[in-house]
Amino acid sequence: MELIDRYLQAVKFWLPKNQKQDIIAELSEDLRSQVEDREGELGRELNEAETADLLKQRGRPVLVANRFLPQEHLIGPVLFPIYVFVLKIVTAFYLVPWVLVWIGIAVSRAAHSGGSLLGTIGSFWTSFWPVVFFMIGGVTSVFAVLERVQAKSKFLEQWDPRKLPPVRDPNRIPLTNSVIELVANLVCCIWLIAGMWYQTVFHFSGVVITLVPAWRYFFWGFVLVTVINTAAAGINLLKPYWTWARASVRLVSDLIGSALFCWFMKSDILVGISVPNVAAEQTAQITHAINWWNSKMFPAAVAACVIIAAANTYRIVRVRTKASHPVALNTASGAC
Amino acid sequence: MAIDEGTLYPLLRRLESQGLLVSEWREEDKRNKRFYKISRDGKLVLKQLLAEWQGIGLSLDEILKESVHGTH
Repeated sequence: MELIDRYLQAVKFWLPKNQKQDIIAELSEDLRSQVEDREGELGRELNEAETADLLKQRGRPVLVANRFLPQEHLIGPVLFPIYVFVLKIVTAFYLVPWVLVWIGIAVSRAAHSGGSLLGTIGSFWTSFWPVVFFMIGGVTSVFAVLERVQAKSKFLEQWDPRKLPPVRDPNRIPLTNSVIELVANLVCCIWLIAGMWYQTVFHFSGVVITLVPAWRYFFWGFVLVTVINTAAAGINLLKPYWTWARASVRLVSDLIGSALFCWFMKSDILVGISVPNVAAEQTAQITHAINWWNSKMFPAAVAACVIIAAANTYRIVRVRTKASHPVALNTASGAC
Repeated sequence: MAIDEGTLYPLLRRLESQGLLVSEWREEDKRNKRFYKISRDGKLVLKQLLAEWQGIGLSLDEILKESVHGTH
């Protein structure tokens, strides 16, 4: 019976204070009755192994005690999907940019001070975990509080179906996007043509910036891209649905822009900067640093361009799929 | 009906905390045992639950009859 007493003691530890004695008395009586019944069947006392088997059938003490406790959770099933969604958003918009900025700073430091790669990785590891810990801990704490508030006020049950967002058509081009694109490209186009017209030396309030002669190629390339984009944004504004042709034009325009941008990063574009009251040595250092940074950011620029191209390709596939299955998907009545 | 003790006792206590059962300790066969009995509120709830259960049973019978006739 010593084994049963030890079992009861272990269960008792996890029980709520005000019910400990009562539950243990009931459990004790039930276990002892079970032992007596079994002993009656066998015609002898149970040995330690048989008693242990009986207790194992009943279950681990913490689990047995848990069944007597009220059901509790830090974040319940109502808020859990929102909690996971917020964690994903925070990871994408905080943790990932943090890691990218950290890598950028580490690369720059390693290039200038010549630190070892192992030391840099070690330093990253020790900085990374506290950030992750505080990020997850912060979000979890907020949701744990919301869970308690929700349990009392039931604020998630108060909602109005009329406030739900309108049905979204992925092939419809939002008006704001078209307006922003049109204005930005128009401003860029005017700025290029009016301010950068086919020259390599620029004057801004006493500051003289000299670019390499290859800038002229970039100039015409950028003008071409902004003109195409301005025209495309204008058409999108009037007919706000993606079509295969327009999505393809956007892909071609983005590919030209991407290629120009990547070439621009690698071309040591700055020849020199002249600033009043600043020594030539200092401006030479600034020029070198800008060119160096442009060159170092080349892989990031290529990666960004690949992402843009992939997004454009996906859009074309989506538009084509929709065109071949018009009934299965939402119809774009205004498509041209 | 076979039911695990680990499930039965917490369930009985939950029903007691909801006022649907009442319990008392009594000696039987030289052992102290806890006896549970349905309360007045428990009888009312039982009546409602039985009516609900029978309603579900009748609905299921109708659905099954229709599906049997539909397939043959």
